[in-house]
Amino acid sequence: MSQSDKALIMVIDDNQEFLNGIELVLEMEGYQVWTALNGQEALDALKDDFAGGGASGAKTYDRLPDLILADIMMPVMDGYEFYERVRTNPYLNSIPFIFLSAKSDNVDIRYGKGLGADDYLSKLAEPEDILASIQGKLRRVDQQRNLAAQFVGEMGKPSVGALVFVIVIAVVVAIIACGAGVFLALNFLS
Amino acid sequence: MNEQTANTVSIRKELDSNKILIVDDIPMNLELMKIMFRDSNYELVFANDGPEGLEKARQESPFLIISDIQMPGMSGFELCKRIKNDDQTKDAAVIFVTAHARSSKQVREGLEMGADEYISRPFERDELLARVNAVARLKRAELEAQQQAILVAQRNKGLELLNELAVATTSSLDLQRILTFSMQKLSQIFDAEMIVILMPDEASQKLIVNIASAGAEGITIPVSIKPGLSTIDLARRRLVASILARISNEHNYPFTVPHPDNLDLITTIPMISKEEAVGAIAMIDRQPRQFAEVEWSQLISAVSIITVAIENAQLFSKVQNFNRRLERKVQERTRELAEEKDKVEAILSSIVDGVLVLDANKRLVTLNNAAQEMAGSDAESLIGKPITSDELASPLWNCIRYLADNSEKIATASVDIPNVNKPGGYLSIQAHSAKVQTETGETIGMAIVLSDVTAVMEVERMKARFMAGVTHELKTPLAVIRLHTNNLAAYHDRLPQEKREQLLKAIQAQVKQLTSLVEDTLKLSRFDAGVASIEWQSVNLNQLAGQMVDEMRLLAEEKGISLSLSASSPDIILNADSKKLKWLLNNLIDNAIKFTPAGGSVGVQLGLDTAGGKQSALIQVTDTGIGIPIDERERLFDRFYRVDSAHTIPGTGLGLSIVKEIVTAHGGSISVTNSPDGGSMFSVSLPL
Repeated sequence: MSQSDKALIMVIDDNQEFLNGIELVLEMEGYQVWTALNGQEALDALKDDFAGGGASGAKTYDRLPDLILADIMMPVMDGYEFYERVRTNPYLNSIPFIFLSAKSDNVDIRYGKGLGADDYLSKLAEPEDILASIQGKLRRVDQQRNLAAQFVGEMGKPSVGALVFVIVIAVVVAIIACGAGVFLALNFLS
Repeated sequence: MNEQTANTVSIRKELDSNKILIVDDIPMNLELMKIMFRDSNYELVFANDGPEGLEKARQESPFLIISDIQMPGMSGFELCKRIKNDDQTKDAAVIFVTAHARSSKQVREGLEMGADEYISRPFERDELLARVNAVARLKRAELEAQQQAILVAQRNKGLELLNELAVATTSSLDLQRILTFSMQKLSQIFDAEMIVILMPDEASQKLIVNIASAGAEGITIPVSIKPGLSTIDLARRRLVASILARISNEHNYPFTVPHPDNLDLITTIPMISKEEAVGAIAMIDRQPRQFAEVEWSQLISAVSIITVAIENAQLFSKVQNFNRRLERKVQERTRELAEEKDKVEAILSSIVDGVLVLDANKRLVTLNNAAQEMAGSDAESLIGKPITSDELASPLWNCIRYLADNSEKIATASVDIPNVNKPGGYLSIQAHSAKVQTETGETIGMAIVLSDVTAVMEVERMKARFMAGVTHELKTPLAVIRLHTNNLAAYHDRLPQEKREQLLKAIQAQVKQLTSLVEDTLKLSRFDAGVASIEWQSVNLNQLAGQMVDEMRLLAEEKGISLSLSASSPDIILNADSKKLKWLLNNLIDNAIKFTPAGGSVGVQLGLDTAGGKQSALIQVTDTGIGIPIDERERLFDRFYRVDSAHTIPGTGLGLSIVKEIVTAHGGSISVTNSPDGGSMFSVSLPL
């Protein structure tokens, strides 16, 4: 599997050591990982390529991440704000977004989910659970992509069935139209 | 006044009912009369003419005058006329003697002039004596009747005065007036030289001696008496005499006081009330007095009248005193109540909590200043209003209504209301209600206390924030440890040795971080709970700082940082907790080392600060790090605040909070500025 075939996950957390840990897990599980220390830093890195002009000297990436994993309590730009920025950006708004926070009160979870995040996980969750959630979101994205690709492909080289279906429809329409025309004409003449 | 009374009542000079005056100008006739009366009991006085007869009649007061009619100079008729016209002699009987044959005209003339009998010369001895005896008998009866009349008049007068005394004494309830009047009247009735009224005074344990003397103002003198003297003893004349003698000696009393030995001059009557002696009245005379029965009974009556009057007056004054005391008590009580009310009102108005009182109909009876401020209206517009009124619509009144409708005896509710003093701000109010009940359990009202718990809530919120911070800070290293251990366990085979060691080191660092966090949290919570007592002792700051710098030099050198200490001499000695001072120095130096890049330097300076007139120890820790932006300096001592937000530099975020607590507990101050070398400088000032 080449580097570009791997799913790309962006992890944002203000704790460097935590970033190191999560990065290692994800890499070991076959993901490509980008990290950022806060929302602003992440946004800058993304904007550089996809929103036209980012902060100079910041890391640049040649693609969009497949999933975002973000902490909430961070300096400069916290997770909630970053989420809003991502969701209101047409390039980014379809990327699955998971909150990974030390804030694990029901209130926080409800709030995070209420915003529309795809999941809300505790930093203290088992790594397996974090991985399961990531895999689930990515699989759904894959399914959606495949469906879209399938639909576009079918439209490109239509099958016999589809052709027959189109012809039958056309005939039926023609018959109804003729019927209606004769009916109207007869009415008019009489 | 006394004399006048005596004149009208007393008898004129009494006629001698044995003495006969014979007036004749012929000596032989006088001799003849002598012979005639030789064997009789009558005493004879002679006069040779009218004028002499008149004079003798005045001097000798004979009951009978036998006079010749024809005398040279003054005739018998003339003499008779004069005698009858003289007050001194008019009661004497007159018998005319004449040699002339009695003419009816002469007889009539003589009798009209008041003559009692007519005797013609010559007369028989027997005839003369019979006539004289008859006149004498008549005169004696007349005199006796006269004396009786005088006595009656005297008694009447006494009774009249007694009546006056009774009326006067009973018409007044003023003791002094009664005493004065009683003494006046007594001396008037009995013509006494001096009246003394003795009354024991229970309150002062003294004998009150009231003295009045004829023609002088009465005086009242309290006299100490020997204890155990019974009231009946007051009526002892010897006692009265000795008291008077004492008063006369000691008080320069202007009246003549009888010699104590002459007890005959003193008459005493005990004042008896309800069969008990309550005092005594003494009468002092100039001459020893013989009481007629009438006088004695009058005196007894007078004394009992006075006794009753005095008793009444004393009773009245007792009642009056009682009344006055009662009145004073009432006034006092009224004043006390007013003071109590003022006090209660003052307390109510000075109470920070709002207080409302409702009656049984849920009407506002009273509310204090704080409650008015919370309600946003003044008492005038609220008192008397039922709290169910639609006008009272606000979260606060809803809360109060909720409590008033509550069936529990005591209840609590909370409400947030806008803070009048801080636009946009809110006050957290906790309302407690208590029903006011009578002994029978009837609810007669309700008291509601509104406590502003904003500050308490703020502390609670701060505590909660701290707890949340602690939890959050605990969770992060735990999460890291969990990730790293998981990585080590799950990917052991695939990780190079170098990576595995790196992960183990990271785990160790996180455990160390956790340990420091727990320690720092404990330190802080001990300060918060107020149990972090400062163990004051004399500390040599130079020694302590030297020790700390030596201990930390290795750590600094590992990072390539030079650590130096500069101190003035002599050594600074201050009163402090050396253990906590070590924490302080450790935290500050450790911080400085952490935030200084390799090749930099950290310096500790000790000195004395005399700013503000008070000497204090000054500790300055400088570094050559990046410095701290001005806008972050204020938050620097906040818990969990870190300049290094990426956690690249290990630390709990509590170190400076602990430093601040230590400084505060020592009564010192801490500030942070830029050091001259571009880094930052922490300055701690501690009182010596």
